[in-house]
Amino acid sequence: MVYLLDKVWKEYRGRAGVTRALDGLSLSVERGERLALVGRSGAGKTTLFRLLNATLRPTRGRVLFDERDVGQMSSRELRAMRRRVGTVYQQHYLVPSLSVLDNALCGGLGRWSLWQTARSVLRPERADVEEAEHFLELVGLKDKLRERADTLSGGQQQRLAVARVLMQNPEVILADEPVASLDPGLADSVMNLLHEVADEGRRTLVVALHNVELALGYFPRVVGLRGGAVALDAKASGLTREALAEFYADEKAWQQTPVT
Amino acid sequence: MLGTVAALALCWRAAEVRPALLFDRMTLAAVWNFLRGLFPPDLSPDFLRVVLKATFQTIAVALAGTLLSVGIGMPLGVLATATLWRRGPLLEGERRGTKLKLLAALSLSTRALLGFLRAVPDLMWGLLFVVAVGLGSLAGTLALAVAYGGVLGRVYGDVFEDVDPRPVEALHAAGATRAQVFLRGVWPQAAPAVAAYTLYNFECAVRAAAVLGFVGAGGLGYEINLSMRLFEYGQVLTLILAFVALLTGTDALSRHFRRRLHAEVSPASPARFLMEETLGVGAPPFGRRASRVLSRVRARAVVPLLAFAALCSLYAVGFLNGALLDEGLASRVARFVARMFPPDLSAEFLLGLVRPLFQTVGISVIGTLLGIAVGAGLALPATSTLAFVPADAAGRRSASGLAARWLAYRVARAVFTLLRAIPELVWVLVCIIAVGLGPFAGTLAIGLHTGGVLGKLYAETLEEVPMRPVEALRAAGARGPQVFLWAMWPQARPMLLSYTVLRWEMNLRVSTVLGLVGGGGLGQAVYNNVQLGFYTRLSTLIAVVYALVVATDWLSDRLRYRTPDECEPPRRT
Repeated sequence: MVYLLDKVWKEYRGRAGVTRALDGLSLSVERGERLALVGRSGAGKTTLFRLLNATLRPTRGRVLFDERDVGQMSSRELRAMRRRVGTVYQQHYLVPSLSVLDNALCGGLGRWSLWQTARSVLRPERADVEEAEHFLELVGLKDKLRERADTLSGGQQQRLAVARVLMQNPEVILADEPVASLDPGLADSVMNLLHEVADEGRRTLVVALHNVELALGYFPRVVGLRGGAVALDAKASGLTREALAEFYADEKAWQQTPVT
Repeated sequence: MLGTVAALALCWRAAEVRPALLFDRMTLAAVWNFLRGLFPPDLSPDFLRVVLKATFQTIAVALAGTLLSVGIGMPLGVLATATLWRRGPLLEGERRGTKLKLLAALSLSTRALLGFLRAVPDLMWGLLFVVAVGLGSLAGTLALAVAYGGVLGRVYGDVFEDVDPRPVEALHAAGATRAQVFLRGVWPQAAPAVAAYTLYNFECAVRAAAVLGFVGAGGLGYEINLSMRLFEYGQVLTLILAFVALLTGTDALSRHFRRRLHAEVSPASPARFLMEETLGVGAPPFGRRASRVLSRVRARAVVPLLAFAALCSLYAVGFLNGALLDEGLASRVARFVARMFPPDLSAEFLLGLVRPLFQTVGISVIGTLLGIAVGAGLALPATSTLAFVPADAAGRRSASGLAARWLAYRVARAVFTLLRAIPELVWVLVCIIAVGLGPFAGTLAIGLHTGGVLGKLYAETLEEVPMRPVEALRAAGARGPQVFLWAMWPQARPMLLSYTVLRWEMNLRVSTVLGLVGGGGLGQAVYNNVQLGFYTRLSTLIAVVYALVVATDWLSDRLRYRTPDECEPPRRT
């Protein structure tokens, strides 16, 4: 089992009071599993992702990664875990003023020492550059190596984000709405790419999606979040499009619940 | 209302304002004598050599000071960056252990330290370093390093905090350490803004380096002070012309490269907005030909070039050769600091400070009011949209009326430039000639300089007011004053108020140091105690100045943003 979340709560304290993003969520994910995460905006998907890649602590409850409690890990152990979990973010999560190649190289930071990092600013190591170029070729950005990341189109940025994660070579790949800003043709190619990559090393794949078709078409298991908890957990084969659409339609349930 | 009047009356008394003195026969004669003495400027080869040397010395002090202030500001700025040590995505996944809490506390105290370094005026630092390491450009360099180290540290910290947090989060999530996140996520985004602010800081340092000469730190200020005391007014004029030329040149060059750096910041970056707000990267400073020549120089090449020049300057001001190594600069400074403790907190000394404290506040308030009067009076003819009606407007216009308006516009603008270009401390010396030593001279000096600064700001604010309501009123037959009162004033009011309050805040800082050259207030007390060698009193005085500046900051913020912000920053889920 890669992940086991046991009754996890997450509350944000803001000026307007406390907002509950996760409300006793429980979930387990097996190694090598392919999982689509669906739910309206505000259902808690992004919060869940940040728990899964250990950039956020739950208010209550336990998150186990590889049978170890994330809450008990030291900073060093947390970094080691983050290295094993790659996150494909939505666009804008690239460093805008760095080149395409440099952005891809950033995926390797977890393996590098500070000294190697400092040296890579001036002249990255040959082996690393070759590796990054290989992945950039895979996502079709080979001809854009020297261009600044902020000059790329939305689709290209998305593919660059995938290349960065490939460079990281993680055991788990999380992707938060990786196709939200892409047209349908590109969306399919990115989904296929993610699956190819996952196939390669028996990697676990967790993808948040808005698109019902894609969720049913690409993933054997679909988990639906609502109000910060799992409201649907089923095999895709047993799910109809109508049932999923109905899940989306329930207006009241997806809203965040203010506590005070 | 009554309270305000009473407070103003108190300020008026504290600043020892005596309007009648201005029109006294003696005063007028002294001013006339001074003005006549200015011409012709002293252009003899011997003196020009002095001017050239002083100018280079000022540039060297500014460069060396800037380099050192970057050395101080960069590490402190990184430490003060809240998003690295105190909050945000880098810390939300971490267990809050003792180590993290200690780092957060260190970061907070660094911020407080930066606040202190900034709050004490650069001239005060200058005087302290003159006492610690002796007269000369080394003291000026160290003063700039400390004062602007505080400014840069704060600015760098703000720039690092304002970078897009999303790439930072992505690198963090990939297992990068904090140092790696900084190097590959924060720095690439911040670099152009950091370079632009450093350049801007150098520009300010040139001005400050010249003025620091007044407390004995060499350069143009020292020569101006000297010629003034020798009644060689022709020399004073030459020196002031050199000073103005130096400032104009630095300003144009720095603005050019800031524009280029600005173009490198990605359009979506918050740093871009910050730079536009504070760095004035709008209008191109050069003609087309000069721009074309300069555009061959890459903006990023300027930074290493400046760094090299700064290293040479460090050598020139004596930081590298001897002062640091042989004679133990650090130990001299340490010995001086040790002599300042414990601070003198005896009741008689503290009670004696009440008067200069009131004097300082009074000088800043009355001086600012005077500046408002001068600025506002001249701003109206200097506002082009008010002074000139569009050429294609209907109706008859007389050639003589037009000429008079044009003349008034030009004269007002020239007066602003003159008042602004001459630093407050030079104005103090001039005013001392007119009305003698004391707070009144300081008040007049602040009023004159502020008049130039505010007048220009007022005129520009009025010009930038949206024009449609103005045109509508003109079309309805309104005359100039009516247009101003009903269309321009209501639109410009918040900006005008904000500029004025901000200026008062700056004037308060200035009025704490006017006394160093005889303009009254706390600076006088500082100067006296330095002369008498009462160093334990100095630390008390510095604490008082710091407290006063912090209180003014707070008050000025309250005055400028009286409405609490209703919109909350967007929350992420």
